[in-house]
Amino acid sequence: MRQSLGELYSTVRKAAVGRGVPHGIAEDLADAVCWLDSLSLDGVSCAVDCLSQWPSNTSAIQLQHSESGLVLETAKPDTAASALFAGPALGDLLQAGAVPDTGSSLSVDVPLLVLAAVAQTCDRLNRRAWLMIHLQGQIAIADCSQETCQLGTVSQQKSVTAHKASEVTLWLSQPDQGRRTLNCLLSKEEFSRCRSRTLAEGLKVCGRSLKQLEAWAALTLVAESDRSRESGAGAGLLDND
Amino acid sequence: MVQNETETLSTTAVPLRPPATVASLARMGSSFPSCLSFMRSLVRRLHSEAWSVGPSRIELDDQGYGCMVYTAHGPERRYSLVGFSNALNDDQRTDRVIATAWDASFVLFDGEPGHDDIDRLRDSVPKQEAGRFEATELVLARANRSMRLFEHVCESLANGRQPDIRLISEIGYLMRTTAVYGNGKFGVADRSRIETRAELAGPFQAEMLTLYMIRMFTTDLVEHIARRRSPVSYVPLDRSLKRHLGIGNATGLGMAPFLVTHPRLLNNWLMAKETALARVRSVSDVAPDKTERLHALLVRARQHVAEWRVDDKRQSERIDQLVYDLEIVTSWLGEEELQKGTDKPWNLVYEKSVQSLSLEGQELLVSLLIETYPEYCQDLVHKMAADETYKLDASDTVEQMTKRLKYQYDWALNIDFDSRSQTCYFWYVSENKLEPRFGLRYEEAGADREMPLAVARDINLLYQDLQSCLPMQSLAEFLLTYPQHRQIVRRVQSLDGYPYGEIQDNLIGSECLPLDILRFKLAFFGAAKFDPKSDLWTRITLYQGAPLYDELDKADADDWWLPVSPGSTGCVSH
Repeated sequence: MRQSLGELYSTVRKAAVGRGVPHGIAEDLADAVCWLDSLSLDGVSCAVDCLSQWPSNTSAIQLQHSESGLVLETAKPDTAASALFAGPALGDLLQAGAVPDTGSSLSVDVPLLVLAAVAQTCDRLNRRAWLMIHLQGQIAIADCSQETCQLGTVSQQKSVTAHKASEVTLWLSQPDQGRRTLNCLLSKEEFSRCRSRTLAEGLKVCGRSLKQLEAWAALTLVAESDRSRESGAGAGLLDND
Repeated sequence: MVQNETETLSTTAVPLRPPATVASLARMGSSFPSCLSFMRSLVRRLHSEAWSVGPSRIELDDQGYGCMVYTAHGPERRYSLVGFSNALNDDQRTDRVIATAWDASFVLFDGEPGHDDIDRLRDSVPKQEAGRFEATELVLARANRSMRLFEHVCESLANGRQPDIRLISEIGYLMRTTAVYGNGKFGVADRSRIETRAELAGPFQAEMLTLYMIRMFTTDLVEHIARRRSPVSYVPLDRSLKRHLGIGNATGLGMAPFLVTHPRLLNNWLMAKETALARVRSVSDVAPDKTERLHALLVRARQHVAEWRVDDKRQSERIDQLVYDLEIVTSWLGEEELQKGTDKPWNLVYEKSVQSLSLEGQELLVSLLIETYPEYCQDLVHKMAADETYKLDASDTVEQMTKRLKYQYDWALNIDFDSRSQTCYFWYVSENKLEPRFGLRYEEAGADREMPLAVARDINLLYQDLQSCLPMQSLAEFLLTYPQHRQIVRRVQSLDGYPYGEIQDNLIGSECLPLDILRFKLAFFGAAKFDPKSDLWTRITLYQGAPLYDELDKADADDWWLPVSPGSTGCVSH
């Protein structure tokens, strides 16, 4: 189903607000979803997954001060954090220069949304950062910088410790890939092409997921009353002139 | 892309009026159009770039139902208004945004539509919000006939006579739009797709072009119907009457949240206007032709105000006071003090106005002064767009944010939100046609779904929570604990360097009049003859007095500020 960027942004933002998410977080989610869908990465379904699980199936995030910097942790150790808050939090740490040299790791329910948040932060700050996430069953490293994000999968050797599928790790310096090789999924050129195409043609989004978002967005609306109907433009004894 | 949008504009001897003065609701609600208005910008461009605008396709039956296409040819691109006129029962006709049928519906098409496009649009455009659109559609709009005027004009022309000039002057339009949508709504093109085009970079230029061509549509439609009705006795509409017909609009709360959610745009509009005013006030030696010009414009303004009649008691009283104010201004201009080469005479007049005139009188004088010196606006027009991409700086500390609030938002921190009168209202979106509304918090349901427009209250809540944190704590930490403040923090930081970005009033307090927000925005559109129907909506007329599409090449194509009835003193002539 085709949506303009503005429409999708508005629907996602309202859906999040309809689910009780604070407005600023809802805006960040809408930005992330638009970013993902402009790259054909089904941000809409990510938003549905994330909003469905929040708050009951996700953990709050807390910040711990350590020698190396600020460390993000989930309040419940065996429960992933919601990407609603994890994405902005990682972006904020990146901006505040509070990411430890060893990186910042967190278990997150929808890692792709964190990727979007980090990539957009790098774009806004003109900084470079690397993010490891799991994508389609593989470990992927995103190299995020201004106006671009290059995504590559890693061919793992057996000796590499398997990460949890929900874990994301943010680094400020390029991670040592050791015997791993990076296969490009999304090049710099493809990134620019996708964004241009979005502006020219709009976005093709998953219809079923969009319907769910629209249903949540409708929760922000107020049923009209006689009094409210009387106060709209054109209202009065004579609706015509 | 807007460049240097907050750069200090030319320094002036007289400083700009401060935000506390200018960005109050009461003063905003007393605004008048000026040469900075968006309709004026559009017409100047059509003139200076020698655009040709006219009908490219007319397929109407004897009753005027069918399709018309108007195309505007510019130096680099073309844009087409595709309009559909259809039958509508009188009991279906309403100005309400919740309507489902209209006398006419329109779309602004990017380029010239082919047959397939027209067929597709014929199906979707009359449905308006219920239709789906492509990125080739830039603007969506609809309009209803004026029951008072449309048939009168048809019948008059069909019978070989011109319509009653008093009726035309009183009503001012044949049709009025009830909604104009752009920027991605219902699938039309996102603004980011077109904002790099020079002709559409300015605020609302696509919408202004749409309305300009709808105006043409309405006069051509009425002439078509009259001609088909009585081909032998038909006469065309007199040019001066045609020029005096604009496009009506019923403007409600849908427009109000925009100014709150686009604060950088608000800043840039006010910055341009205040800079223009400061430049005029700083003029030391006034050339004789400028004095003459101002006098001529003042005569026109007095006539325009004399013709401005409304039913609303409050506005009617304001107009009566304005008539009196303009008499006073006229007497000042005759005073010896101003004749004798006073230094900065316009500044003297302005300062006298602050002491003696109503807010409407002061703001009309402001527009008059700016209108006298259009050359002072030429560079400012290009600085009125804005990049509304906001950035949050999580590296700031609690202490830095607290200081910022005290500096930028002292006006908000002085409001006592413990008082019920300061939280009297709430803004919300109705489930019927997604119409923004203004509810009574303690009497109506829905406050739990309030729109985030209560900036002053949110500033206070943020300030309170900041006080409970350590000063050197980063905002990254603060926002993890208080995520509910993320939006307002981002707003505050993003408006650093945008002094006019906030409406400096409580938008949920008992004193809030949403009409003030509407009038301010409409004045920047270029609307005149505000006709309030309640505290929440107003009728206006757009493009009244503007050059017709075959007059765009005339030297005085931009001289239509505050138009007056044809034949009256101070009439705009082309």
